[in-house]
Amino acid sequence: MNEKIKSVLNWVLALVVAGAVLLLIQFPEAFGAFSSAFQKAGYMLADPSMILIGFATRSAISQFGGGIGMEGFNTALILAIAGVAIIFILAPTMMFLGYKKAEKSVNKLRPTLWHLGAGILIAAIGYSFYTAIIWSAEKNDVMAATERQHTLDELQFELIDLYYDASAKAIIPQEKGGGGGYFTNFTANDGSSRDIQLSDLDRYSSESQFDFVISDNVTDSTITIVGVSNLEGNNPDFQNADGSTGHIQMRLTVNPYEDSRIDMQRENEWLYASR
Amino acid sequence: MTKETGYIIAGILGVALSAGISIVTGNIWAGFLIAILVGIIYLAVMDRKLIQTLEKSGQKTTMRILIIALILAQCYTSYMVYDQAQFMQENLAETRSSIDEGSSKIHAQKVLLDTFKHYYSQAANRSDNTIASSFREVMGNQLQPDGTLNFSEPAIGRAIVFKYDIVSPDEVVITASAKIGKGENTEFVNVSNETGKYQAVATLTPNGISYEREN
Repeated sequence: MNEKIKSVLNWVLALVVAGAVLLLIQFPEAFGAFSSAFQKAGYMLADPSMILIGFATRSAISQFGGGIGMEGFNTALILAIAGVAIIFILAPTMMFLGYKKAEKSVNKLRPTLWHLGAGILIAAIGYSFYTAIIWSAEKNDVMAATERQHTLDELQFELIDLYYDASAKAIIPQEKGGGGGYFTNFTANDGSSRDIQLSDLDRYSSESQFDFVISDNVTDSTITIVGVSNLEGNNPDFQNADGSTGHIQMRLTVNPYEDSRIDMQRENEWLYASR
Repeated sequence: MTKETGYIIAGILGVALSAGISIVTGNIWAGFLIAILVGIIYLAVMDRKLIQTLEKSGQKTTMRILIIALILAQCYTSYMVYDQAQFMQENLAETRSSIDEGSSKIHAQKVLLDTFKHYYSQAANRSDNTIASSFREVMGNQLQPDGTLNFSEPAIGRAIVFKYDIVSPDEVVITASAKIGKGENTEFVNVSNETGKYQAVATLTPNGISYEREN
């Protein structure tokens, strides 16, 4: 066989080994009931840190539910450390030994040891770079989505506080500055009756990062408070309660005399796009 | 034993010993990252002691390129995966705290609002009407002798301990202490004897309801 062809064939065989490793990771379902075991084997040969992220995910979910989160610690550790030993110690040494054996051989096709070592190294380099690049590209999106959710949680908490503050204010007698049982029965400066206002609420702060509005449709027993965030919603033309456009807002109906659950409606958010 | 076998055994032993760091510290990443460091040291030694002995310079170059690429790729991905794991853990912990905060805000204040409505509905009819008496009447057998509130929904009790304190005839306090959701200060001692968990205090007086986060 031509020497150049043999040289190319050596690398083709190494790529076949690398491809086999990647197949274990990408198509584990081909191994039926043993899919999980084969995929872990693939991760051991290409990217042992992926075994740890599996453990870390299960651990975080367990802690979320009140567990300790250490189930599977030893197994994950042993597999990951074994993977490091294969990738950093065995594979390069196998490749080196393959070269050494080939030096003493007249056959230009290198020993299997070389193909295995080189194949594992190629898989470990290729898959790791691929994973890291994909994850770093998605990182900003994931962080932005998380930040957005935390902001909406804050808005929800402030609305809950206003819900109970407004309910209590409606119940307090008029002579103590309340509505005497009604949202429409607060005393204005000129002595006449007026509807409840945000300024009646002790827990309302104009300094809040959100804008709050009490909708015009106030009745004796019901008001609607709308909290407007500064987050862009799915429809840029959406008319917000505070006069701005395109922001996500939450709507909460307050009725202190109705014994129902708090019903918070999100508006102009992609999850609730039909509203 | 050949020289190469000796290097392999030493390298594998070094990597295996790194696992002990994880077992001792309980941090799975510590041992893993040290194992990678040991692996890098092994590759440096291998370069000086073994790869140098290859006869063809092309083979030396090929091995060195692969080794450098391997170190860069594995360090990069390990950092990214570690970073992702930390982020996920913190995010889930924060989400858990948010759930507990929302739940405690609603349940503690709902109880106090019910008491508040009762108090003002009785105000005109009873001279002995107080916030404390209204609270006892509204809550009835939900008030436990150990100072906790018993909610009919078991899921609430599994996540949050609600302790009540009748401070005076005109002041009732409910302290909500999460069992899972973390607070801001990890050393904060909760009323439930947990440490570092979310805690807030809801107070009812004839003037209204307040809710303050303590941790």
